[in-house]
Amino acid sequence: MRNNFQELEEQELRQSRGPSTGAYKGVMGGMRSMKFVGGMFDHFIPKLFQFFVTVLGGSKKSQTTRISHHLSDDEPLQSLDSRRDYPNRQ
Amino acid sequence: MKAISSIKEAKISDEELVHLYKESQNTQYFEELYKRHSNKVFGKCLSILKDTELANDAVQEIFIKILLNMSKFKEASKFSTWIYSITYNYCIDTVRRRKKNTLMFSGDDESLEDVADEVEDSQILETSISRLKVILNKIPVGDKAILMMKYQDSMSIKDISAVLDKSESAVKMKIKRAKQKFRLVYGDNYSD
Repeated sequence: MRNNFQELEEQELRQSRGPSTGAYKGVMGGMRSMKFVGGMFDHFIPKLFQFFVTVLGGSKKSQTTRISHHLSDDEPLQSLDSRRDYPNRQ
Repeated sequence: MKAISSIKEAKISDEELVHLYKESQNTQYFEELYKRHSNKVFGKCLSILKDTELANDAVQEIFIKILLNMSKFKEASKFSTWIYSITYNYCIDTVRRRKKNTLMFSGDDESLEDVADEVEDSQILETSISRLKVILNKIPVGDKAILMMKYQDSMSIKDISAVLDKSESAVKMKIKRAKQKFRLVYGDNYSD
């Protein structure tokens, strides 16, 4: 059951024409602009980021740089055979 | 995902619409939320700002604010409570900005004596609609807003304190003073 405050609001709503179409268009326009700007960011930010990475010396593909071919103490012996580029391999 | 054409027929709840909008970013979900709530938001703005043009601008800015803060809506409270909080907050700020010397809440200027006896809710709620309309337009705008939050939208003290950015005890005091002011204005206008 509605109280008098709620009844008053209902009464005022019935008498009012509601917000103008200008307000509606403003909101919808704002929403579309935001969506457009968001889309632009989604599209261009990764490319911009990639550009900076490239400029700073990085590259698209991440490469593992092998510094040396020294055996690590904790590397299991059986894996030696599988190392194709082991320098002393016959 | 629910077919967009069936939003109305399926009577999807507001909270579900928010969820669908967040998931898909489909503007039609937000459009439906606008259609459901813009009239009430406009009514509240008009009631507080008392100017149609200002109320229209307010509706536009409030819905843009809702859109920008959609991710902050945690679905812990009702969506309607959340948007009415934003509405009251916006309207109170607007009045504060436009009329810098206006008294927002009774007691802010210490003019209202702190009366010990509490005004009962029933005393306020039994006021006829026509008298209610007159009195609400004669009390300070902050008092009007706080009474609307409490009685029209049934907002909790916690929700009201979030809107006004005050502690819960400060809000209780403001409600008490608003009710006293209401009774005072009632007495001044109606002798029965």
